[in-house]
Amino acid sequence: MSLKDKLLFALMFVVMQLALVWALAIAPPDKLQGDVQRIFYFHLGSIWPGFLAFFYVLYGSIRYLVSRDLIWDRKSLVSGEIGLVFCSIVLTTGPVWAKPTWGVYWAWDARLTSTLVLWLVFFFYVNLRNYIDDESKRPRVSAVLGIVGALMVPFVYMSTRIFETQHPKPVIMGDADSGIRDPNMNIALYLSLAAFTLLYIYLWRLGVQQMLTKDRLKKLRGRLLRLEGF
Amino acid sequence: MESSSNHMFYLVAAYTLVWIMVSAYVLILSKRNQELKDQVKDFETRLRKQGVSIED
Repeated sequence: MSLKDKLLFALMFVVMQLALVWALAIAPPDKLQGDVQRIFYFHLGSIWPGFLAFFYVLYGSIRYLVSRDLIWDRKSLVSGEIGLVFCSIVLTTGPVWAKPTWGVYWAWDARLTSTLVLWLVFFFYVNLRNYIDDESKRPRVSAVLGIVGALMVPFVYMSTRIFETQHPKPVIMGDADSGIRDPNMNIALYLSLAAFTLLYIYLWRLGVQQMLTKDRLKKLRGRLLRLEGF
Repeated sequence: MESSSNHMFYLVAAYTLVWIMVSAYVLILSKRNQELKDQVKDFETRLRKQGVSIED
């Protein structure tokens, strides 16, 4: 691990601890929901970096299609995988929060359904390459699917504005009557957003290094095959 | 809305799920990383034995 990665990990760790303290102890309980509303900080805190990860897939996939440089395919894949993990966090913490507040774990409204579809698209994106044998076709098909998946993100975000949903309206960049007003609640939210963004960057760097090692391994295996004939 | 006594259960459950998922992913990455490193080391040793440079 490089010094840069160690520093990044240390920073992420500190910010994550602060986010936990603010979310669970310093931010006041919600007047209506009580303590269960504290789920919100990590629920929302994880999906924004998740969206960021999917947008990186869009960027990386376009770069790949333009340059045909495989590094962009690798970088996009890593980002898609992390986005999928963050999206899984949202899809599991959401129902746990929904049960005590809505009375049900799940509602087939536009926000929840579109998030589930987004998760499925990226699940397919991450696993697709295992099913395509043609190595030249693999990154091209992945890039197209990655772009399609990432273009769904604005729809997922806007779904609570376009449709009547059980899910509340946006807190960030929402309407005048939405959002949170208590400063400590805001600090908890922004600390959580910062912590998950740092976690995304840290995991992405780790994942890309791993992809590069995988490529090196492939080259070494090729050379060994020629030499040892196995 | 359910009684507030039940709320703690959901709060703990949600935060536990977050950490299970993050930890599981970090563990998978670390395991994958170790396996790759071991394989690279093994291949490099075998190439060196053949008298071949391991540089790209």
